[in-house]
Amino acid sequence: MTSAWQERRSQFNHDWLKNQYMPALHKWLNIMDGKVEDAAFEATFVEHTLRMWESHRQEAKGLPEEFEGQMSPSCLFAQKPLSRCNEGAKDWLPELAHHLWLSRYPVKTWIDHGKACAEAADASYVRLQQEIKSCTGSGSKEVLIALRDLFLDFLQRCLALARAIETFPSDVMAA
Amino acid sequence: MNKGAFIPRILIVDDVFGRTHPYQRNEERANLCGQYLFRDITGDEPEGTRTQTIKQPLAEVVYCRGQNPHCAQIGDTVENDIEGVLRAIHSGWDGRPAGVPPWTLVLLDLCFLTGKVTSDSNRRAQGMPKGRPADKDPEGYFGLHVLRAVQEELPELPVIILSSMPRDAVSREYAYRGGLDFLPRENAESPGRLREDIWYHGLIPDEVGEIVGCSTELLLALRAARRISRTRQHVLIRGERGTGKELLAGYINRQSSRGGKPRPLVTIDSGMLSPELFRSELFGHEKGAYTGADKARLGRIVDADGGDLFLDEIGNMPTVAQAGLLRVLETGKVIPLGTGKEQAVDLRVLSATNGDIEGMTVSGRFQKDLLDRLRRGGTIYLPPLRHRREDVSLLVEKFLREAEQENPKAKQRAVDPDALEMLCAHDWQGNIRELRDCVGAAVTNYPDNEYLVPTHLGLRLERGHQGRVHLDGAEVAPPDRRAGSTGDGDAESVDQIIRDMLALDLDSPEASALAQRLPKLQGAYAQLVARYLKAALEVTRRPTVENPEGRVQITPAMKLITGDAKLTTDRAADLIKRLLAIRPGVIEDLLEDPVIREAHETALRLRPRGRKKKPITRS
Repeated sequence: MTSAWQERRSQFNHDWLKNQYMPALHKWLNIMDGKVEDAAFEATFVEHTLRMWESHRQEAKGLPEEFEGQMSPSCLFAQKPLSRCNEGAKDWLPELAHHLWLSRYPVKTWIDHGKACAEAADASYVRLQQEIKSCTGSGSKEVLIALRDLFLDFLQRCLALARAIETFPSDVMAA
Repeated sequence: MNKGAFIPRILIVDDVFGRTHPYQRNEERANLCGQYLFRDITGDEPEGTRTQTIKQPLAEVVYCRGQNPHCAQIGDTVENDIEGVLRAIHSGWDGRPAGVPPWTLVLLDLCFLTGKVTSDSNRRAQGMPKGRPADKDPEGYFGLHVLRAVQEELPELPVIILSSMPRDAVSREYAYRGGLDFLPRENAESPGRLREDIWYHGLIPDEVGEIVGCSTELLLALRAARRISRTRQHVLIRGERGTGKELLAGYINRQSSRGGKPRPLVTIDSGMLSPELFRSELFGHEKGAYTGADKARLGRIVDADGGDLFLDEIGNMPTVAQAGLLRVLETGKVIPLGTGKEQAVDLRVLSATNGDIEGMTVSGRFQKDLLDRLRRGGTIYLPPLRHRREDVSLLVEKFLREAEQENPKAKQRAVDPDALEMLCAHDWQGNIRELRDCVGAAVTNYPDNEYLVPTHLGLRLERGHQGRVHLDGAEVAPPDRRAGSTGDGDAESVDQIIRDMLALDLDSPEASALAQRLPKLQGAYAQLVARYLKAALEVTRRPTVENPEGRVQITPAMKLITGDAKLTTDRAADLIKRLLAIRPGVIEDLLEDPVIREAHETALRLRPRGRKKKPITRS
């Protein structure tokens, strides 16, 4: 069964971050290095493509935060067959399963690392945007070349985030 | 091929980056190309949307979605299309135009999303379905199905996984299925790793053009040479005379120096000198070490220190020198004659032979221990020219230009198609050297001609000799392929032969007497077909490092027979099955031949139930 959390992860990490956003960042670096020319891309990158982060940052932070609540084995008691447990057992068994799960797997480590990576990527983005705004003629490639290291840093933070999100298990794991 | 002129050609099979949009370019694809420095030559972008320029492309790439429809819209159902993927692969492999190298390699995605394109899925990624749960199950990845099919059908095609899915889930499976590497698509290091993979795993011609050709057989040998060149292990090069063993040694030496200082390459023909002189030449000597040694000499092994020593025709090496060389290889030290002093050397030996060197170890003429040392790093087999006929035209061009330069009074000439056909059909027992001599002689003998024509070549018309069939004293000539025979080519020509045979007036006034001849005629036809098929299978064998005899390949064989360069593997399998099912009872006899049997088994494996589409024979 594919949970809603897994579906969201797939859409964010695979479909958007890895397939759409990061290749565009890579390409931008190559444009700044003079290896690629693409007038249509250059015209929209800073003002449109780069800013797509702003509509995805909440998801980047939300996925690690919501992992524990949505991927815990306690969720299994809300669906068949465990939903057929008697009500008495349901009072304590899901919570026990949750605690056993937390003690068996490094769930907190995954979450903390994921949150840290999301925060780091966002901080890098904010810093980059501040620098872009301080540049005159901020849309032009020639001016932005001076910020190459900041673009690279943001790309690397995105890569670290992608890896951190990938680290979360793909199934609801048994306690 | 001039230095720097070759750009690798790669097929990328990927649902996201391979899909086509109706009115605008695939932006994700353009970005991936910008990331990896790919020049997209797929040619499926709508007019006017190509605005990207890659200054120094890593490769030219053709994208294939691997699904139907390529250009999906809301409401369409997207399904995986393995036949389409294999067609795309074949188009740049055994179905490519002459003189064009095969795919350098194939980059393959793992997870392909299928199902209906909804407005929601289309909003997230245009033309993409949401995907079914099975699509995302690593065990059911469509990419692994493709890899399995490629491994069965085209095992020599280099395939590398390029995916953003986690590697761990499939690492065993992709290795098991012949995948050569796994590149995480989003990684910043992946383009650099791909550049290395192209060099190490890809099928690429010699960039400086010393070794001419782009046949798969040659490119596989060059790849083996590049792989070996990374090590300092000794290498044995095998191949018939005139196949270019010395050039390959030079290639290994050049590739070893890639990106660094050139390493020395010292060549010795092992049969050129007397045993005493050979030892002196190889190991060096002190002044007065023997009569005539009036000054000290370093020796070729010391000359090759830090580089390579190429020993040509090692079977001719004097036995006294063999023991000395073995000692050098074991100890890494050389003792010049008459000095008694050891000198350390960093030596790699590239040796070559076209003889039965194993047989010589049995008869004691060559030391087994030395042979084992000499091939410790591996053995590379250079294909004979008759196994890489598609390279003949490139070689002829090169040799013509060389001969014209050597002979300033000679006119620059073009190659007449009949002459090229004759050159391609010739057996070339002396391989490339014989071809070079043949072309050189034509320029020398006919300096004032603007065309190289058949009469300049001094070759026997082998086709006329071999293409005739004797049957009960009657001689039946197969129809000329050029005389309007197309499509099924000789498969139909053979049909024509039997029709001709059946139509023969066999000098009997009795119809029943003629009818009695029919089984015999059919039997003769079956043998004719079997001989023809076997000959085609033999000449299209592809030797590999593991199998120097060569594997039977039904598609190239049937292409040769039919003359249809676009013949698919399925059709080749169907044709073979049909050719061998001439008459009940005959097939068992034909299958006693191991080559025919292998081809028949391959055909049955590929097409167990036969063709579905149009019939082979035209009415």
